Amino acid sequence: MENLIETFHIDWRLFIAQVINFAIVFSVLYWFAFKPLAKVMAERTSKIAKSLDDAKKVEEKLSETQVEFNKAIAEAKKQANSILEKAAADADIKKQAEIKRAKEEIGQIINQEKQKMQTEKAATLKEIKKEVADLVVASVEKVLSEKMDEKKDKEIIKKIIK
Amino acid sequence: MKIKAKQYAVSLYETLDGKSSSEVKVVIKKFVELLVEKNQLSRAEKIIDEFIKIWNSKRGIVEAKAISAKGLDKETIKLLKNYIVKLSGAKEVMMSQEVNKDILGGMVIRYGDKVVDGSLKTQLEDLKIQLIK
Repeated sequence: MENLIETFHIDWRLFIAQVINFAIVFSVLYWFAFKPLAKVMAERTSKIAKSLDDAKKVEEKLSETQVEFNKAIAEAKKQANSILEKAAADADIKKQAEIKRAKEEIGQIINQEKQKMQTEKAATLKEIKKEVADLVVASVEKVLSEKMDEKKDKEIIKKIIK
Repeated sequence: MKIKAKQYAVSLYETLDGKSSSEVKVVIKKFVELLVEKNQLSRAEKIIDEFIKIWNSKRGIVEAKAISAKGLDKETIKLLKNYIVKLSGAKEVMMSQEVNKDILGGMVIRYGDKVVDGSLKTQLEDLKIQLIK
């Protein structure tokens, strides 16, 4: 030990002074530098940890949001498809109804026209029959007025009262 | 109350029924005087018509009118009278005649409120209706 002290020329007083000095400097540094610095570092570490935690939470939230978003999109797509299908079905029903109504209207028009044609035909036929009947009767009347004599008239009367 | 022509006619018939011709003249004279008195002479024609109806009805007489296109001879009139007797059940038929060329032939007989239409004109009209149907 003595060799060591002797080798390095250690002066105990100086050494003690230096130790005290060091202790003072250390204390000053510790109280005014290390401790605040450590506190700042701890706060910063805490902040960073909190930030990381928040970021993680945000990420998780974002991930959840993305899932919800995807779910909402899927639901919206499903609803949209459902609406489209319903609209298509409604449109088809409406179309079928329109076709049916149009067919009925066409049928009615055809029936009305048929009826009209039949009425016209019947009227024409009746007119023709009337014309023919008038002609026949007029001809018979003419023949009768020319050919009828008292003898024939008497025979006719006899036949009627028989 | 106003007395109807038919009531006058009935009274006249009941008064005349069974009377002799001389009595009939007296009754008719008195009846005419009654009409004058009641101021009903203007209704005499109607009363006479009613009287004839009652008279004919009581005696089974039917008045008939035969319408023909060419006129009817005696034989035909006799046939028509017999025909109406059969139809109406009358005892006697008083037939009058009318010529109407428009019926073309055959005859139309009117008696009472009935008509027997055997005219060719009507038969032709029926034929015309059948042809049009």
